[in-house]
Amino acid sequence: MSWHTPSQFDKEFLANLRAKLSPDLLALAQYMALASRIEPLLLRNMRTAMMPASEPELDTSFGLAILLLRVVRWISY
Amino acid sequence: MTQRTPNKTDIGLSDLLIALADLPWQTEAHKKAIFHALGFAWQDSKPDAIDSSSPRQIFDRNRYQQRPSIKSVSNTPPGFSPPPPPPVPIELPQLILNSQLKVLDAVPEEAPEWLNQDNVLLADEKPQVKAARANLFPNLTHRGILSAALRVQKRGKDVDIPRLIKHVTKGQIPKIVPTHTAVTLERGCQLLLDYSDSMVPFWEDLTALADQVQNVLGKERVKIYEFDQDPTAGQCWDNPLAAEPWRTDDTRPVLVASDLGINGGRVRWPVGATWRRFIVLCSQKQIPLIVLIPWRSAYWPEIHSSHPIMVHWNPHTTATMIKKRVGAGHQIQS
Repeated sequence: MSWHTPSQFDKEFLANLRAKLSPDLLALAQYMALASRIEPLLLRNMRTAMMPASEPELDTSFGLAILLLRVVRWISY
Repeated sequence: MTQRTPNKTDIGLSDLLIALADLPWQTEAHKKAIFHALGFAWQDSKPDAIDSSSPRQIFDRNRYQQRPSIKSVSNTPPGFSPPPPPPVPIELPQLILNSQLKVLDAVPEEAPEWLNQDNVLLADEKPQVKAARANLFPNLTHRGILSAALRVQKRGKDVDIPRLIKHVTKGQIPKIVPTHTAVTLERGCQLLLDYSDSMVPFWEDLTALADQVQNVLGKERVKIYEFDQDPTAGQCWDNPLAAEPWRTDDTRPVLVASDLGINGGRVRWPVGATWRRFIVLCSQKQIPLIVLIPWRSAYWPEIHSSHPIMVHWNPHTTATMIKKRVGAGHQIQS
């Protein structure tokens, strides 16, 4: 996404993500969107700090979703 | 010059004087200079005392056979030697030359520019503190959790009086005095860590878990094996040159940290063949098996066996939850 007004494609893409991904995963993705580089330590600490009730499996789900959707700039494991 | 015998190697004083007399010096000053250079004190009559017309003869001063020179044998062992003599001080000339150096004008004392800058010494630089990581078993609770999961029953020292009385009232003399059971961690455990691709987000948790288990049980009582998907192919790298394959050890429980091949699917499929073989192996030898899984129970595969104790590996797991599953402790026959 950019600061431009979302196009029709952007809106459909986001709606698709919301339909496919779980709410927890989507919330985590929103937090992690600020990072230019995602490492396991950042992912873990961000998740435990912002979503303390979440489960550790979200770390794996996040990595899998990113690999499938290819929406991330840089992820490092 | 004197007649020299072929064996003569020494130059005597007479030879030197005769040679000096034969030198073709030109003036008296020249003569004195040569004498002085050779280290002789000059006297005017001496060179003239040598009569050049007198027959030159060679005097054998070695009248008697000289004893061969014997080197003094020192008693000092090889490798030892007396300290060298102190160096002879050099006599400085009395004449002092005038210095060519000029005294410079006094420089005004101004602090250099870099002195007032905000400089930091290398010793003052603090090492970068690594951000703390929230482990799946928090540091506050991991001791209780791991102790509850890995404790093993053993015969205690306290005599079980009611059982002993029961034996006596029946007229039986027990071969072994009945005692209360106690739990212990001295058996240690085998720790199997799954470093497969699906566990990549938890690799640092595996390392932290190994440290936590070693802290609780003691380093020498924990054997750590690493494997990739197949736990029976685990290898221990205590010796970095030769890996030690995993073998069943029926004297200690087995703790496994793995996702059992879960890849995010919610469908409960049967556990893989390698895991089935591993579970059956531990079950047949009655080895306690505890599996830590970082996924919720909704994702766990179907195992069709009650032998392994499955534990959700997350910060919300408590020691009480483990105690309910394990009971009073694992029973190990041997």
